[in-house]
Amino acid sequence: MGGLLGSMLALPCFVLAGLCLPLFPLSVGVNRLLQRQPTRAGDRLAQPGTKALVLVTLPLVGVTLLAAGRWLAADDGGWLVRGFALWGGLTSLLYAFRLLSARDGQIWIGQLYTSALALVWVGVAHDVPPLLPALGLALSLLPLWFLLDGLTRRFGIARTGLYPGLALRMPRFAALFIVAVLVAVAVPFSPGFFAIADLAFGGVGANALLTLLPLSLAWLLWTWAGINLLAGIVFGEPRVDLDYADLDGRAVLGHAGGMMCLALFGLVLVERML
Amino acid sequence: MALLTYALVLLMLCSALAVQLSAPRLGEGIARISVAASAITFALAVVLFSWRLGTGDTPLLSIGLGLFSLYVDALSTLMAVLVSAVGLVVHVFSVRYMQDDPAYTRFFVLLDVIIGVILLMVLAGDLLTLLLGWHLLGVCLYFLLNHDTRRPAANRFAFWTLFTHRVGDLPLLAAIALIYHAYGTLSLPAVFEAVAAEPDKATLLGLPLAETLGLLVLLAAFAKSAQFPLHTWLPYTMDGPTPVSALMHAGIVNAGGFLINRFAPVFAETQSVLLLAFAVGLITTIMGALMMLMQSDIKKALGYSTMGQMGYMVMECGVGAFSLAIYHLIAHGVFKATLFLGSGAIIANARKDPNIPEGEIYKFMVERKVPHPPLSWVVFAGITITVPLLIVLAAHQLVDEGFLHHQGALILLLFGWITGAQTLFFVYKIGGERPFSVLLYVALSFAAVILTYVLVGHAFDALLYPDPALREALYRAASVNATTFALVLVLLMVLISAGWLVVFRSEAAQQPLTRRFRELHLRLYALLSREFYVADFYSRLAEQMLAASRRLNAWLRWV
Repeated sequence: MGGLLGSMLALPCFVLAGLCLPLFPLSVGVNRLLQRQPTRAGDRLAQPGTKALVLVTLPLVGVTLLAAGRWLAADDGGWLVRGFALWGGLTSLLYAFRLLSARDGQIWIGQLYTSALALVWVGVAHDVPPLLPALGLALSLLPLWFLLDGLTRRFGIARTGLYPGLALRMPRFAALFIVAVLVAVAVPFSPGFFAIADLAFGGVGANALLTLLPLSLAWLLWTWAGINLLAGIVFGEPRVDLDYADLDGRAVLGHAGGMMCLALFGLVLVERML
Repeated sequence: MALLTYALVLLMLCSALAVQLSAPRLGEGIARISVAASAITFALAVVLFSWRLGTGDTPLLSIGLGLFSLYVDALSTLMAVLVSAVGLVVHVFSVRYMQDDPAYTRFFVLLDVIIGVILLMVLAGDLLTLLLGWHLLGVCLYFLLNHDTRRPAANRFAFWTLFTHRVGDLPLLAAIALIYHAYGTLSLPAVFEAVAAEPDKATLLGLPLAETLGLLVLLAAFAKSAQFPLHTWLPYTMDGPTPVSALMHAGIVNAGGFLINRFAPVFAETQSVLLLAFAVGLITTIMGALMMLMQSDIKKALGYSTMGQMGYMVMECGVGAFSLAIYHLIAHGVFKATLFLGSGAIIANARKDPNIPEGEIYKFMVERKVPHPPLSWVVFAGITITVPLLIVLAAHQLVDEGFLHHQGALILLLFGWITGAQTLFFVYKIGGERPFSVLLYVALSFAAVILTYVLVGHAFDALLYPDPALREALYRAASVNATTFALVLVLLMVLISAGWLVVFRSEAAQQPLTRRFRELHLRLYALLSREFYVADFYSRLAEQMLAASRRLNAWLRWV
């Protein structure tokens, strides 16, 4: 394919991909889904497991649609892809900036997901294969997703500032929570870190400024937001009117094992990148 | 040797794991594991340094992955010795200092991890491993500074630290991405060879690559080494435990100087970017020294002192004296760790007994009695201006006759002169019964310091940069037009000498300048007491950003 017709056909593919690798305002859908509260008993879409599945499968669907779009556009779709890359970069920055004030766990994850996955577009415009970075960025959110769900089950809501000081009352949970937040904001050795490096190393050759600016600024804002999350949950003076129940040994091992697997996946990403 | 090098990096990380696992059984006994690992690490670092010194080899070690290669050269092994030595001292000090702390285990785990991470950073043989270490250093420091999880102030200033460090991570990421694109490798020796082979390579935007890389590396170093205006995290992070302050001020903050030295072969190919290092270092030195004088808290004063010293270190790089910066950071690390670790005991003792010996200093500092000047101000001003100048010139002449050819050496000489003159002026100001004896002691001490500085500086030159061509290239990269330089230097010397004369004259007439220009003095005092409003500006900016983010989220209904 190729030519003007190919580009025209690629456009809907890219727009659909923009639902999965979210581009504002198409990102509203995935954010609504992640924030969905059960409307009735057995509302499967509101189940944490379903949402976790969505976090992992949406990038795969998005990458497939992207590949289809790129095939349709062939060599003539450069302008189209560059446009989407700019859109992706701006979306990432918009959501990273909004993330600074997010206090609810589900909103936080949804906005970080949007900010992170939108960056894949920046790499696509510069011929960085999108599959592994997209997976790396999405998988990095899973540990935090499950721990935030754990907080919801314990306290009824996962929100910063409501029950600070968990480091003193639930030290095991707090330790895992810290690592999960760090993994989510792409600290080494999380796959997110290597995905960022992959996008930066791959994209810088095509356009240093358009690649590095959104990547760097979004990454910086994620850190700030991550620290806000930790400050309101892990640190501070604990409340005395709440019942605290720390994780048992098996749960700790399960979470820690999952994070180790993610670190190994990160190493795979590096080896593919270099 | 490969096994030894990897063991050096891994030992502290394994120690952290062992401490965590054995805490329920050993209680505070876990400190023994940590201290033993720290001592072995120091021994391994010394062995590695001696081996490198003996053989002169610079092997690049790898475990077969793209990551985690280690580079055993003079710089990395020397830094490993410094880091492990400071780490050992801090470990030993912490055993008793942190006793009865509820988070004793966590403290030692984090301490072990951060030493391991710093060792990984200084020994990194590829840029991605360097970035990993550089990045994780800030993260580990955040948790160490947040040791008391209840204190909002600790949390707030730990956040400042992490955020500033992260600001410094970004230029390094950009530099590494540009290097990888330009040369297709991340291996440090290969990158340095490639830069030397193609010094005129340009980036996509048409900028000279070496110059761009130099700028990015400098920006990364500025954040880690608390250079103005990225300095606010350093003096404020006193809510962490004292051993962490010692580690931070003696070790971590030196990372900037290390990074600039690591990229020395890149800087050798630059034209003007080192001038930025000089300018920023100079501003930081002056700011740090001024703000240190305003502090009444000993730890905060030490914090600003570190800022000034780091400014000086960066300035040394900015004039091309790269190896001198490494000597400076080692010397500073040793004395600053001592000062921090001793500060707690000094504060406790001073509460019982100020312990200031009776004499000239007591009268001047405590009784605020200004004695009559011991000599004619003209004679003393002459001594103050000429003696330090003669000492620095003679010391340099003794060690390196060709030093006058290096603009950088002349600038450092100028600073040595100013420092010596300031010390002698203080002797004049406090007066006393035996001014000539004091003057002689000060002059001898100054001569000893300068001579040591020059001698060791040259030894470090030979150790770290044995290739004279690279040394010359670094000085050349830091040079400006010779005529302009000579004019500026002479003008500065005249201005400074005139300044000293004015100060001496006003002191002799018992009319200090602070009284004559009272309005200006008060304004400057107010500005300094608010630390130039830099921290206030950042706080206000952060509040505004958070408010804007909230408004935007509310407008977009949080989806």
